[in-house]
Amino acid sequence: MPHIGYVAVTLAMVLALYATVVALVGAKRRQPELVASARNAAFGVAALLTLAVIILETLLLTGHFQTKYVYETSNHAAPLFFLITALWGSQNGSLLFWSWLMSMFGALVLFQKWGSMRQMMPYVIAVIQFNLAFFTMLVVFVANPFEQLNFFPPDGTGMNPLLRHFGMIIHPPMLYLGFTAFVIPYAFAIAALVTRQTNDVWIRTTRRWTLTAWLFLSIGLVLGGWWAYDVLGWGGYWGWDPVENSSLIPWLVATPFLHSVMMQENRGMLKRWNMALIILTYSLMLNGTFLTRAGMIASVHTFAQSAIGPLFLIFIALMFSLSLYLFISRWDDLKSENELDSFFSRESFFMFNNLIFVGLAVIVWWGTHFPLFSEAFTGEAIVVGPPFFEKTTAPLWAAVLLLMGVTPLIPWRRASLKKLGDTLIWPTVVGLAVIALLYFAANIKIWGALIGFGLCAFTLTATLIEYWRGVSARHRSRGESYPVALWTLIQRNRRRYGGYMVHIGVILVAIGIIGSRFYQVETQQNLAVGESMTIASDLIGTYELTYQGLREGQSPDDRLITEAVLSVNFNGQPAGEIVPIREFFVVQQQPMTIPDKRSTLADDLYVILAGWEGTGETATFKAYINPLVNWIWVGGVVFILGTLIAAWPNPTESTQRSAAPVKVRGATAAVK
Amino acid sequence: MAQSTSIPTVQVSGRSTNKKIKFIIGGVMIALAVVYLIYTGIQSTSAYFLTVDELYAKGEAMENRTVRVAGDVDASTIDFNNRDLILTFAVTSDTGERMNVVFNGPKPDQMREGAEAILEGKYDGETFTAQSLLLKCPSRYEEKGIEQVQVEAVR
Repeated sequence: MPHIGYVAVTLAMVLALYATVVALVGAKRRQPELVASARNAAFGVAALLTLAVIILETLLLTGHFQTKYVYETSNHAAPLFFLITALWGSQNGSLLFWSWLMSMFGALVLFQKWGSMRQMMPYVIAVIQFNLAFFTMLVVFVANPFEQLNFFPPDGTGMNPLLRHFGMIIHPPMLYLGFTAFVIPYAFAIAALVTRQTNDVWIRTTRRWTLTAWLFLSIGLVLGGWWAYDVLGWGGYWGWDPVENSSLIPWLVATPFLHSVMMQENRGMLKRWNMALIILTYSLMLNGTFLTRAGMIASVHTFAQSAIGPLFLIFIALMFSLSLYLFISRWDDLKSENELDSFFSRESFFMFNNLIFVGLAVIVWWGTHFPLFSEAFTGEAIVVGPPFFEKTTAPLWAAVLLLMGVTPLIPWRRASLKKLGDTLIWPTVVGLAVIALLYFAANIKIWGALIGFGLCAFTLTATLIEYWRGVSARHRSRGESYPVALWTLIQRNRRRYGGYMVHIGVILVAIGIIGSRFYQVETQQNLAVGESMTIASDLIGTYELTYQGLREGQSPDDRLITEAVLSVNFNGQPAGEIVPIREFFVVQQQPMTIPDKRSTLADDLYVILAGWEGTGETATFKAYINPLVNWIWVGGVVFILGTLIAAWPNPTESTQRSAAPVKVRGATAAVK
Repeated sequence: MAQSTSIPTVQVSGRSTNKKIKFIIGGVMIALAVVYLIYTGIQSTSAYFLTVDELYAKGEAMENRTVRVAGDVDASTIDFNNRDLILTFAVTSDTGERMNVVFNGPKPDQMREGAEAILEGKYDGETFTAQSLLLKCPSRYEEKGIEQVQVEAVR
C-alpha cells in the first residue's frame, strides 16, 4: 500500500505540470477545451493527493512501522489523536500535507470562480499548479514519507514529546493553512498582471481568501506563542527565533495589504503598491518555509545540508523574478486612477501605516538573515538576538498603535486640521489620564510601559468612539435600542466593524505584551519540605509558595511523572496549590519539564520544577510572575472573532459586489 | 475636486506635486528611521557567531565579549547541581577542540550526547559562562528545532 501512496504523489506531480503547461497553451491559443482539461487535471491533482494523505493516515493508524515515517513519528502507545496528527509531525509528512492543502484550495477556487473569471482562470491554474508541481516534486524526490525500511520494527520511536501538546498539534496546520491559502490571491494577482486587468477585480474576488489566509496565519502565530509559554517552561512566549520570525514576516506584509486594498477598491489608488505587497507576501512565505525547512539559519554552519535547501532557493528565485518581470512590464497599466487629495486624509495615513508595517518586516527580515549576509560578505557570522528585535521594532509598534487609533477617525480624501483635532480630543484626554493614573496610582514608572499603555488607551477610546458614533446615529434616526443598534450596525457593515474588533484584539494583545515584558519578575530557590519561598511584584502583590513534597506516578504510555506540590498564599490569603511536573519519556529517554500556572486576568504565577535531591526531601523551583500575560490570549480570541465577522459571507452583499462595482470599474477602465 | 476644476491647470499640478513632495518626505523619513534603527540596533546588540576553534583562533580579542558559540555536547562531562542550578559541561568542535561551559539555570531537557549546543555568553580564557543555552538535536527535530529548547540563565 505505501507504494500506491508514492505512485499517487508522483502522478499528482506529473498532472500538476501538465495542468500548468496546458493552461498556458490554452490561454495563448484561445482554446477553452485545453483550459478545461487543465482544470480537470487540477481536480485530479487534488484527488491524488487526497488519496496519498489517506494512505499515509492509514499507515499511521495501523502501525505500519516498516514505513520509515510511521516508525519515526508514532508508536503503539500513542493515543489516536497523536496518530492522526503525526501526519504533519515531521518534515516529509508535513510537506505532503502542505501540498494536499494547497491542492484542495486550488480545486476549491476553481469550483467557486470558474464561471465568473474565465479570462484569468488559465493563469490562476498555471500559477497554483506550478507551485504544486514544485512541492510534490520535493515529496517525490527528496522527502518521501512512504520510504520503506528493509525490516519490520516491532514498534515506532514515537513523536517528539515536546510536540505532544494541543497547541503544538494545531499550530503547524494553522500556519500551513495560512501560507498555502495565500497562493490564491497571489495567483489572481499574477493573472491580473498577465491579462492586464489591473482594476480591483482580482482584489474583490480574493478578498475572503486573503482574510482567511491571514486569519489562519494569525491563529498560527498566537498558538505558537501559547504552546511555547505553556510547555517550554522559560516563562516567555516569543523568542525572536528565526523559525518564529519566518512566520511573522509574511504576516507583517499581509497586514498592510489587507488595509491598502481598501484604497484600491475605494479610490482606484495604490495599484502598484498592492501588487508589490501580495507578491512580497507570497515570496516571503516561500522564504519562511525555506528557512524553517532547510534549517540554514539556526546554525549557519549547517548551511543547506538538507537537499531541500538549494532546490527551494532556485524555486524562490524563479517565482520572484517571474513576478518581478511581470510587475515591471505592467508598470503603466498599474497607474493610479486618482491622486492623493490631501496630506491630511485617510489615504495618506493608510500609506504611512503601510510603510511602517513594511519597515517592521524589513527589520525582522534583516535581523533574521543578518548572519547569512555578514558571513557572505565578511566571512564571519554575526548574529543579533531578542534585544535587537525589541529595541528596533518598539518605536514602530508604537507608531502602528497610534495610527490604528487615528486613521479610522480621519475621513477619506480630505480632513481639516480642526476637525481632526476635535475628534482626537477625547482619545488624547483618556490616553493622558491613563498615563497619569498609572504613574501615580499604580506605581508604573518605566516610560516605555507608560507610553505603551497610554497609546493602548488612546486607540481603544478612538475605536470605541467609532462604534459609539454608529450606534448613537442608529439610535437617533431609527429609534433602535442601543444593543439592537450595535447588532445591526455590525450586521450592516461587517467588514468595517469586524475590522475595528480586530483592532481591539490587537490592543488587548499589546496590553499583555507590555505588562509581561516590562514587569516580569523571576526568582529561584531550593526548598526543603515545609519551607517557603516568596516572589513579589510591585504591580501584582506577593506570593508565598510552600513546598509540600513530591508525588511520583506512571502513565499508561510509559511516562514517569514526578509532581511537586506547592501550596500558594497570595497576599497572605490561601490561594490553592500549584503543581509543576517533570515527566520522563522512557522510550525516548527524554525528560520534559512542564510548568504549572495560577492564571488570572491580572497575572500568571508560573512555576517550574528545576530539580530535586533524593526522593524529594529538597527541590529547586523557578517561579515567575507574568503580569497581564493572559490578555494576549484574550486579545487573540477577540482578534479571531473580529476577523470572522469581517470575512463572514453576506448574502445581499455578494450579489451586489459581483455585479455593480465591477461594472463601474470596467467602464472607467474602458474609457481610458 | 469640484473646487480644483475652476483653478488653472498649472496650479493644480503644482498643488499635487506639493502634496507628493510632502508625502515623499514622509516616506523617506520612515525609511531613514528604519535604517537608523537597524544600524544602531546592530551596533549595540550584535555578537559574533563562532565555532570553538574559531573562538580559540581569535584569542584574546574575543575574551569577555558577548559571543555566540556552537559546539557538540560531550555528555560524559555533564554535571548538574540541582540545588543551586549550576550546570557544567564541555562542548567539542569537529576538529576535537574542547571548551568548558558553565550555565546557571535549569538543565534543559535535551541535554545529552550528540546534541548541538548554541551558547551565548562570555569566554574568560578558561571557561565559557553562558547567558543562554540553545540545544538542537539535528536528527530528530527538523522543525521547531531551536525555539523549544532555549533556556535563559538566571539574571
